[in-house]
Order: sequence, then structure tokens, then C-alpha cells
Amino acid sequence: MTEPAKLSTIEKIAVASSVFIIGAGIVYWGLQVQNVMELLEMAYG
Amino acid sequence: MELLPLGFFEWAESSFLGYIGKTYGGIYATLGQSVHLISLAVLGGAVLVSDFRLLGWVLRDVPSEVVAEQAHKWFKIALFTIIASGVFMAAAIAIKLYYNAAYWAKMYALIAGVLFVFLVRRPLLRGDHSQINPWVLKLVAVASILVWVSVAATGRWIGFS
Repeated sequence: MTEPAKLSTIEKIAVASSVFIIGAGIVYWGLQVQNVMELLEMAYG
Repeated sequence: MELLPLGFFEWAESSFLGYIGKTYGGIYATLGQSVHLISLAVLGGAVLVSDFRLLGWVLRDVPSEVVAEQAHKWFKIALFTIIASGVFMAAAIAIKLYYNAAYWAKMYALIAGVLFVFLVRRPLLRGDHSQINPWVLKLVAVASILVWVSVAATGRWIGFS
């Protein structure tokens, strides 16, 4: 069985920053979609 | 949360750049908007070709190092032009922008994108890509696409809010 290759420091930084960006993007755009849906509900019921 | 005080935006709108942008619609449309949008298209192309190559979707017969290197040159040119034309455009409507939530969302996304490219993505991709975990490459590509799509989307949103 081969041991999985360890990530270098720059790879670890890349993973952490990418996960942060993707997470922040999901939260931000999720909230925008939620706001639009609430607005449409208020307008059209 | 605003990054700069209202006083800065009041000063920008009363500056020479603000005066030119507000007074001469033709200059605003050509030097500002058209250059800004063309640069955004170049930047988007550079980001997409490089990130789609990392995801293995396009140009699979070209080494990803070559694609990333070439795309980065165009990315830097486009980014410089976007910022220069953006400052010119923003000066004309600076006070309105200060109260615009989409403008601040774009600024945060732009700062995140620039920091990500120059502090993380570029140092990672400068070397031999075969030495990098393929999942790390794919994750970086997805984050890169998301952050620049967010810059473009919030930028267009300014015009509709």
C-alpha cells in the first residue's frame, strides 16, 4: 500500500485559501438568492 | 463595511477625473466603460483558459504550465487596465458608489481575487504542476473562477442598484 503524498506548505495554504473563498462565495451568493426570494414573496405573495 | 471614508469619495468626485467623467459623456463611455468591459473580457478569458486547463477541460495537449504562464501575462495587463479605467469611472459617480452595497461587495471580491492570485495561485503554479496534488490544482481553479465571477457579477450589479 502506498502512503498518500504529503502536501507542501504552499499546497496547504492554497487549500485553506481556496476553501475560504468557496465558503465565503457560497454564503454570500446564498444570502443574495434568499433576499431575492423574500422580495419576490413580498411582491407576489 | 466601507473601506474608505465618505470624505475620500467627495474629494474624488470633485477632482479633475470626476469633473471629466461627469461633464463629457463620450469620454466616460469610451475611456471608461468600453475599456473597462473589454479589459474585463480579457481578464475573464485569461482566468477561464488557465483554470479550465487546470480542471482538464480545455487545451489538454498543451502543458498547463505554459497555459498558466501565458494567461498570467494577459491577466496582469487586463487587471491594470481594469483598475485604471475603474478609478476613472468611479470618480464620476463616487458619492453614489459610497452608498452602493454592490460596489463594496465588488471591492471586497476584487481584493480577495488579487491577493489570491499574487500570494497563492501564482506562487503555486510557478513550478512543475506534476509535483502538485491534482485535487489542489482543481480546488484552486474552482476558487479562482468563483472569485472572478463574483467580481464581474457584483460589478454589473452596480449598474442595476
